[in-house]
Formats: sequence, C-alpha cells, structure tokens
Amino acid sequence: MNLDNVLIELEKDPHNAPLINEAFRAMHTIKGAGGMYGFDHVVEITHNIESLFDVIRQNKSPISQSLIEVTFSSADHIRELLNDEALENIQNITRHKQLNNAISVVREQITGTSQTAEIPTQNKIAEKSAKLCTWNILFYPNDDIIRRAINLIYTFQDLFLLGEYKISNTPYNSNNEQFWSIFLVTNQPYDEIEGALLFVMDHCKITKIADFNIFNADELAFRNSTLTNKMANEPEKPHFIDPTPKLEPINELFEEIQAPIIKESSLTSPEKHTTSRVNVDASKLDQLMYLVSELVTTKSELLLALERQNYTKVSDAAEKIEKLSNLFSENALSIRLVSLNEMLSRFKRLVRDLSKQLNKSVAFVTVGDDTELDKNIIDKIGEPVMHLIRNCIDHGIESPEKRKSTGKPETGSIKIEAIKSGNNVFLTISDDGNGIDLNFVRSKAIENGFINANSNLTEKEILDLIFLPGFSTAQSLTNISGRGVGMDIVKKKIQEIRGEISINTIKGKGTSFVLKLQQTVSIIETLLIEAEGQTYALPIEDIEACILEPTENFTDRISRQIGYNGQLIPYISLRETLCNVSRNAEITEKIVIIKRAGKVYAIVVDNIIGEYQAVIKPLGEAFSKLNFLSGASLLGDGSIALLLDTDKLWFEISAKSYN
Amino acid sequence: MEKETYLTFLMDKDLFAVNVINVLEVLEQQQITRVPKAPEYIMGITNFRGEILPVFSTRHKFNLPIKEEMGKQYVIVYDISQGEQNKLVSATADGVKDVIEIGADEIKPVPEMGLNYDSRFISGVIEKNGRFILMIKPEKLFTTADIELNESIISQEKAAKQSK
Repeated sequence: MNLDNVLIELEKDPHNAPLINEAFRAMHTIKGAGGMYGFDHVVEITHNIESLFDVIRQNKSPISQSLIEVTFSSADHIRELLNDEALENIQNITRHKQLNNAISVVREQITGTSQTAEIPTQNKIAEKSAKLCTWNILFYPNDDIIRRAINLIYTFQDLFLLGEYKISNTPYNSNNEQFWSIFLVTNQPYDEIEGALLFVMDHCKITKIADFNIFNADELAFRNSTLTNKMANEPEKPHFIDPTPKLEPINELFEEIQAPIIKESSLTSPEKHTTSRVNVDASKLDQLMYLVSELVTTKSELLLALERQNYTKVSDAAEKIEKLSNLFSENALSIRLVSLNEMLSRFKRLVRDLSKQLNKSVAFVTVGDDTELDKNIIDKIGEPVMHLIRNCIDHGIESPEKRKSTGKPETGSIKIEAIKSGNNVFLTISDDGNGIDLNFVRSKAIENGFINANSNLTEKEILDLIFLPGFSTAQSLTNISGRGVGMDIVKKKIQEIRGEISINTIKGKGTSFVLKLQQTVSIIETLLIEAEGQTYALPIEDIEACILEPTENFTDRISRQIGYNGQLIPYISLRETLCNVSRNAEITEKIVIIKRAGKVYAIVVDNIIGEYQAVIKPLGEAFSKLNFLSGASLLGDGSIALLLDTDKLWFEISAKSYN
Repeated sequence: MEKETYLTFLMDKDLFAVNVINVLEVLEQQQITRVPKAPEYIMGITNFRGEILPVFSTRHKFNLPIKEEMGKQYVIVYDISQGEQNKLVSATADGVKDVIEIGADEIKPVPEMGLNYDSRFISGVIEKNGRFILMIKPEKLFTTADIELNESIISQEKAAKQSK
C-alpha cells in the first residue's frame, strides 16, 4: 500500500494501529532510501515526520487531522525534492521552511512541549540511569540489507538513542559469517530495541545479558563475580568472554558498511529511474518462448522448401507463419495490458484533496479495477479521467448542507466502474450529485452564440454542447474547473486513442460519463478501400455493411442523402471530398456503410480491396490539421494505407450539410 | 581549426549545405504516398525503415517554381531531434552533390539583402570554387510550426468575425 492511501485510510480511522505502523514504516523506508542516495533534505523532512508518527505509535494516541495534512504536504514536497535534490528552487526552499515549521507546530500539539527537531544525543537518555539493563545484540549483515536499501545509519541511530553503547567487531564466527556485537545499556524495554531494529530483525539476535550497567566500572567490579558465573551458564555467547572487546568508533563501522553501497549507487545511471516497467504474467512469457521456437522451426522449413523449390511446402510454411504472427501479436498485446488499479489508486488522493478544498464530503468507490488496458491507453486516459473527476466534485456533488436538505446522504459518492466487453473497455465515472441542468446548458450556449435561440436540440445534442471548445457553464471561475478549457480537450484526448465519450445525466440524481475505450490501439482490423488510386483503411468495427448502389439512385445530390434500410442517410464521396474529383461510376457505386457512435452514414469508394490487420502508426505533427486521418499503416508491398477517422468524416458531412 | 562535414545538394540552380549530423540517409526512387488535403509544402508520406515520415517539398519551402515534371527527385532523411525528442523528417532535393569539410572560419554571416530565400532557414554562406553555398537549418526549415501559428491567427480572426 502506498503512503497516500494509508493516510486516506487513517483519516477515516485515526485509531488504527497497524495503519499507523504502516505509515511509520513508509516514512522510515523513504528516509533510509533517501539517505542512501544522498537526498539529505528528504531525509530531514521524513525524519521529522517519522518521529511524529513514533510519538503517536508509542502513546497509542489517534492521528490528528493536522498531522495527516502535514504528512500529505511532506509527501508532495518529497516528490518535488526528487527533482531538486540540492534544494535550489526558491519555491521548494520556502515550502521546506514552511513544512518544518508546520511539523514543529504539530509536534507541540502531540507532545504538548516544544522540542527541537534534532536527534537527542545518547548522553541525554543515558543520564536517566534508573533500572538500566545491558543487552547484547548480534548483528549479521548480508547482501539482503543492501538489496532492500536499508540505511543502517538510521537504523542504528534509532537504536543508540535508547542508551549507551559499545560495539565490538568480531569479523567472523565459526560459520565464517561476519557479524557485529553491540552492547547496549538502556532503561527501555525489549520492545523498544526491537522497534529500532525493525527492518534488520532478521539479521539480529537480541539477548539480555545483565540487569545493570556493565559500562559502569564500579558497578562492574562489584558485580564481576556474579557476571562470570552467569556467563559460564550461557556458553552460546562465547564472544562475551573476550576480556577486552575491541571498541570501534561508530563512524568507522558505517564507513565500512557504506562503502559498497555508495559504489553501487554511482553505477546506477539516472535514466534507470525514468524507464517505465510492466509486470508480466510468467505464463505469457512462456507462451512467447513457445512461439519463438515454433517460428524458428517454421523458418527452417521455409528455407528448406525454397531450396528444393517445393512450392506446396512454401505455401504451407507461409500459412503457418501467418498463424504464428497472429499469435505473436496477440501475445505482445497481452503483455502490454496493464491493470487499472494503479491509476485508480492515484485518484483516491485527488478525490480526498479536492473534496477537502471544496468543503465537500466525498466517498470514492472503484469497481473492476483489475480490468486491463493497453499501457499506452492507460497513460493517455489519466489526465482526462482526472478532469472528469474534478468536474464531478466541483460541479456535480453538492455541499453537505444542500445534500441534507434534499434528503440525500451528506457524503456524496464518486464511482469509477470498469467493464470489459469484447475488445472494448467501458469506463464509467459517475457521481450522485445534482446532475446537469439541460436548460441552463442550452441558455448558456445561446448566450455565447454556440447555437441559435430557436434551434431544436435533443437532450443528447444539448449534452454534446459541453464538449465544444470554450464552452463553460460555471458561474464563477474556481481554482478547479470552469475556465472553459477542459471538456473539449477531454473529448479530444479520448478520441486520440479511438475512444468515445458520452454523458448521461438525471437532474438531481447525478451524472455519469461513459468512456468507451479500445483495449489496444496499435493493431486493429481494417477494411482496405481505394479512392483515386490511394489506399485507405477503415476500422472494421465501425463498418455496418458494404453494398453496391445503382448510380441512378444518387439523384438527390444536393442534400447528399441515400436510402439505406428504408431510411435516408447522408453520404460522403471520398474522391470528391478528398481529391476534388467529381465523377460518377458508370453503373453502380461501391458503398461502405459506417455505424459509429450511433451515427449511420455512407462512404462512396472506388474499390473495396479486402480485410487487413493493420499496425497503426501515427502520422506525426506535420498532419495534425488533417482530422479525418487517424494514422497510417504499412501494407505488404511497402506502400502506405491511410487510416480514416470515422468520427471526423461524419463531422465533415455534418459541417457541409449545415452550411 | 576544427572542420565539420557537410552534405551539399542542389535546388534549381543553387547549392545548399547541411551538416551531416542532421542527415540520416539519402534515398533515390522513394515511393511517396500523397496525403489528400495536406498543406502543399508537404509532398506526402513515405515508408522509411518501417517508420512513416512526412516528405516536405523543398521547392515549396524555398518558393522555387514548381514544374509538372520534376525529373528524378531525391529524398533526404533529416534527423532534427532536439533534446530527448526524437524527430525524423524527409524532404526532396533536385540533386545530391558531395560531402565537404568546412571550417568554422569559412562560414560567412547571412547577407541581409539580395538573398532569394527566407533568411530564417539559412545559418550562413560559404564560397567554394567560386560558387556560393547556402547552409540550411533543417530544424527550422522542415517544420510546420510557423505555418500553424499563421493558421491559428487566421482562425482567430475568423472566430472574431463570426462572433460579430
């Protein structure tokens, strides 16, 4: 669980001890890793926060709201610091100071006293010599510690806060393992020692060896005889019998331990942090290996058949390769699929922050978060979905008072639901807020000149107005949404990945945005067609039918409608629209009927070539103005087919018929 | 004096030079797929090692006369990556000459007057064997950015008119 989510949970349940521990451990890990890579400012902040959590942990007191706030801000600050290691950015410097102040304020609240953020020296604690006991800690470090990025300095600093200590280094024991023996005199109970060594407990053996301070010479002499007897009864700790334990300064010890760590961190290149990784199911990799071996075998078959000029065998092999390539692409696509889980958990934090900011109470529910989507698509929908959530909180969910007065529960809810259906994933973002006031949208649209006052629009058409560039219904500009940019960009981004977005709303009950996404975009099934010698591809999913229509049926060339299944549908002629050639086919026209997002229209083409599995490549920014093309694909002979965007072609038609 | 290597190519009757750092490959007989409704300075797209690249018409970019039959055309693939962003484009050339070494001291500043070409695309001039060679900045020449700016101004004006 990540820190943000732990904190969100803690906010709901401030007494939850395991969660407090979780937060404490998260801070501790960040501190350790930060220290190891030299992020000193990160260490400073996390240390201060960690110590706050430690107080909470010990006192078993609930987490206060102010502590959660300051922890959230610290987490954000740490993220910033990762790019500004040396704390050079002015903004970061101010925030750093503010945070440290905020932390000390919270500390005063928690402890009731004002303490300095500094680590108290061991002497301060050692002075309290009541009920001092001596403990022996055997510490066996190994590679695992380095792998887990544990910073021993902090682990042992925590330990040494407990009392007076001496370290003897006995390089190897009988099993040839290196270990350190630490003597600690403290008045704290065993739990405290274990707490300090929490992360290295697997490598430690803790034994109580005396209930007095062995470092105190007088006391030692006084108890000498008793101790010798005691040790004789415990033969498993022979190192203690060593009469003069070699004491080493603590810094030297750490220099030794740290040396290999520093070396390692300088080897890791900074790029390593930016490469994104995908977790892959091992069975998918096994399948990939199987496919590779099949391919290698088939390749040899093909080469042999060619050598012997046995063309039946060649075509057999070609067929096999075709099947294999299908399996390969399926496999590759499945590897690229990523679950929505990670993205959704990021939104938890967003919902929490926004609802705080707007004084609204919002519960965030996710359903189907294990649904998988192509990594590219996940990366692309993050921003639009975030925007929709913002809209839901800002415009959708009412204030708690208003909700109460309308008989709704005070806490509003935002739900994200993902459902897989065939090759599509439907992502629904819904709120139980006020809904969208259609009349208000309509009047705003008239006011701003988007539509005529007397235009007769259906409910759906009114809702679609929201997606127009520059359209905003917000009466006041808020920090969160309502600056008139947004929904058009959301729609554009969704369309870029060949998705669709629609809105459903019930006044007073809530609004839901439905995103229809393709599970993957890079390979799609297409139908190849031809117009004026150029090959185009149409997504097969959008094709309803291919028909031949007698040329004489195109009588109504002005309104550009033809009859299909007993109704009139608009048509577009590729050679006229794209190539400005007006010419009619002699007897019949070939027509492709497109059904996309509930709209039906026809495309007149010169030729229908056939189905083709197209690997879609972007056209690049040079063609960003050409909306009706959504990409291109290489054909078997090296030539290029242009992929037509069925949404934008419709727009082309409707734009024509309005003018 | 450190010398740098340049590729020279012919457009109409003038010679141009481009730093080989920016040149990936020179292609002959490249199949160019026309893209309907594309701006006229874009000839189309081409398949270069499995990637789809736009092909700029250098003649259009230089405001040179456009002939119906242009004869053999070369396509030069330029690498105009800037920083982390990888960017390849291609553009036509009437002829490809040779590869020459030019020292920094040989490069003269662009004359303010008497240049037939947009000086934004030219980084300097050199004289070689009595001929002037213009050195181009491919990253400035083969982009759509400046055009898009103009278009956005036009569309803003249109929008302003419509709102009246």
